[in-house]
Amino acid sequence: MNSEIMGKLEKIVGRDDVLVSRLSLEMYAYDSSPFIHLPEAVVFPKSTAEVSEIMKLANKHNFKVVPRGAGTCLSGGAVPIYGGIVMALTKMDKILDIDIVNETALVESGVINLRLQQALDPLGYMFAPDPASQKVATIGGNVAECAGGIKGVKFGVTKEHVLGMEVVLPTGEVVMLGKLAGSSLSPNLMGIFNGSEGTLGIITRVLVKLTKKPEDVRTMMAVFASLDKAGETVSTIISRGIVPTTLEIMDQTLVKAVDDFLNLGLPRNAEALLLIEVDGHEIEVDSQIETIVEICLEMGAAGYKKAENSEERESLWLARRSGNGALGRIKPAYMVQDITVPRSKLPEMFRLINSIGKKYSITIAQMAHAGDGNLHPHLLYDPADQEEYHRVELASEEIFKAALDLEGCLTGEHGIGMEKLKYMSLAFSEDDLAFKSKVKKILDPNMILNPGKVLNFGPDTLKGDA
Amino acid sequence: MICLHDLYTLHEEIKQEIPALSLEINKGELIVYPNNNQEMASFIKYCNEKKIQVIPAGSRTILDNLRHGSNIILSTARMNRIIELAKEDLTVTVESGIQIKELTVFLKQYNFILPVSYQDKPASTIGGLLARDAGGLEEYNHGAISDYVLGLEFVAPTGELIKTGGKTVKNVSGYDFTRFFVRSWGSLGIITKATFKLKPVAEEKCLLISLCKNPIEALEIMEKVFRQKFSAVTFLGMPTDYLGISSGEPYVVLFVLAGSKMVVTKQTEDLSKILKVDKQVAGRDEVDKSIEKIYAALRSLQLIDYSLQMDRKWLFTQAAKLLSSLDNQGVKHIFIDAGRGQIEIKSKQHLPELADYLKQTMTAPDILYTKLKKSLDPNHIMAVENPWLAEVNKI
Repeated sequence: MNSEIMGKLEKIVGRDDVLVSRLSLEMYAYDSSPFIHLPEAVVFPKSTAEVSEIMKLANKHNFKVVPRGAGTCLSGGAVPIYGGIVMALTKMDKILDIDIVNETALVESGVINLRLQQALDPLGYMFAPDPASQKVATIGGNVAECAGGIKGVKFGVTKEHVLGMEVVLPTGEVVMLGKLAGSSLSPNLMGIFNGSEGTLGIITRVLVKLTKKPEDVRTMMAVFASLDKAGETVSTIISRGIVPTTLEIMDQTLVKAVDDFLNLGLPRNAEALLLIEVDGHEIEVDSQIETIVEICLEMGAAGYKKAENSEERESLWLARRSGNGALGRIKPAYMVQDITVPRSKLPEMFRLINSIGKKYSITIAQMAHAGDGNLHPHLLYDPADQEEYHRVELASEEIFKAALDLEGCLTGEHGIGMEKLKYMSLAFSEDDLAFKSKVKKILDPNMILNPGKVLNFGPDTLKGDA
Repeated sequence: MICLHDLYTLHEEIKQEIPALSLEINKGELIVYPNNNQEMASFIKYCNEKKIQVIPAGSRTILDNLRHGSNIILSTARMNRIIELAKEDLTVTVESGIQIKELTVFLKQYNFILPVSYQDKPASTIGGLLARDAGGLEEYNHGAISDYVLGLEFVAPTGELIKTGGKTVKNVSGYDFTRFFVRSWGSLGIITKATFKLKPVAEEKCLLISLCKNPIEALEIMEKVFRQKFSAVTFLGMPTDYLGISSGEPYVVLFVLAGSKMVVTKQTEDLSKILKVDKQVAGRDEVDKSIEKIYAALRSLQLIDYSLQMDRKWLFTQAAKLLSSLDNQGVKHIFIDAGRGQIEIKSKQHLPELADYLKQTMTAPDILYTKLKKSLDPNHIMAVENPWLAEVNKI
């Protein structure tokens, strides 16, 4: 990227908001995935107009642009794999409006999820999507990756909480979509930006739906002699018409690792631990949790514990939250997958993953947002052991195939990014992929916006022909 | 529009090309009824090659006798099967031509709902509801149909059969083109199959009715209730006549509370303390029946709807001015849905002034849609029938 372009970028956003030092570039070369590639510059726009100017410039001079929020992406969505600039949206961080009557908030895309929650809390509202990264992840990133979270079983994923968007198209035009558009009848293509992983446009503003904060919650833990049984219990609870906020499963490997780490006195012999939370009105939560206890016992739970106060609730949650970190005690690294299957197929998927682990002689710790069929098997390995890493890759591929066979999908909430590119052809037909590519090429004819993600356009085919 | 003579010629040509396809000529229209995906895809491919413009259609319930565009209709009426109800997964997969009332009745047997209204237009098809992103009487609580669609199969304007999404709530595998069809009005492809997530039916419901002077007072009452954060799923205002109640007061407000038995019982008591309740209907099925009855009575009046879709803030702060001016003009059939933030003016006659006013609120499709439409449908074979969307047909 030559100095003329740098000069122009500086003119658009101001000199202080273009970073080119080696240190800065290294800071923006990676996200939370294993991929790393240096950008040529990091640019911080402060307005939609600046974003638009940058995109026009990029098309004119044919350089790549990778939009980025907080960089918590697990699949490589924010890595500038073909160079170009990283466009960090973290300075567009204003909450523009909170409208209680319409139950909406208008925010710039760089607003951090938790900050929005804090602004809404005193008003009795929340933004329902709560990805584990919510302390740092931005709303724009949540939308672009269609973040899920622990409460997905009751509240769904991010796209169900987005009512409007302002988007800068790859060619620089600004469009107002959904409830931000002028007319309520005209076609509304806002939805295609949900989970678009920063490849179809740059989301600059989001009108989000607010959810009333529940009056009360109840939390419990149940212990099962097999993952299967825990999985069946999840299906049974929901098919009886109770929709808990949270249904999380941990397997024995995880339970032991957490207990070794924190000494919580967890049931180490249990094959599976199910964490359940319900929320709702004060007068109904007790009877809901009682019904769930009955179901757990009916399904053969070896034991259960209800949190009697907020301290006990915290300690139940601590076990769940410490899972990822505690695994470090077993092996130095892990590859985490994000396959999702219809809820009734959970027990079968758990079994398949265990047998795949055995087949490749690797330890797989299983954790799942069981309520929505979203599994996070952690495949443990030692990065120094190339051969083991290879087995982890083979096992992952087999897990993907098994999930697809069970009518599931490759990823529930982490995204395709670069990580799962090569598996897209397992999940989709040639026509499906061609249609996706066609839409991408129509919107981004010069293939400059976050190339190399979602769809497998190699560097040679980066120039579109639509 | 193609003249009748040419329609007959075309009819013969299509018969020869795709012999299995059912088609008929009726009232100056050629209507094509594919029985499955393959027939649908072959027909669209044929249209694309021959540059024949068609209108994808379900039950054509939305149009109130206004017609526009092509007179070749591609109907999903014969693709109306329920493919799978996955009870444990709370999902249902259907063909796009199934009618909403039929699906709702089917799901209710298993205590599930797809929360999209069937009361006002029971014959609307799932494909049509998706293409206009319909919501419903409980939209305030449940959102619109696009919030429930997990996966779609559709035929693109160039004839390819495309699958997108799947059977799980969480899914970011490639682009979310399930929402491609939100208010696409059939112009970007025709949906053949859809998978939805379902909700369990509410355990209990209660309908509370309060009489009042006029729509303006009704809005004041609704705002008061809204601000108390009750578990209300429906907020309606309408002339008392529609309820078949004889009363001195001309207007009425309706609230529906829904949730667990305990919550609905308690909130009914609480709400009765701040609201003058003139009539109350308890029990989930009874409430659903009452609402259905109101809409059946409304349908039988055969009124024309002029719908003003704004938002709640507008309703509570600015609608009063419009309502009093309508009142001065003698417009009596005013229907308010505060959950959705909309006002409907219902009339026996066409109201050209109002139609013009509403037409002005229509904006041309944006550049995003225009770009995609031009490239995905290069021969512009998919037209829309709604004259208010004439701009779409000009792209």
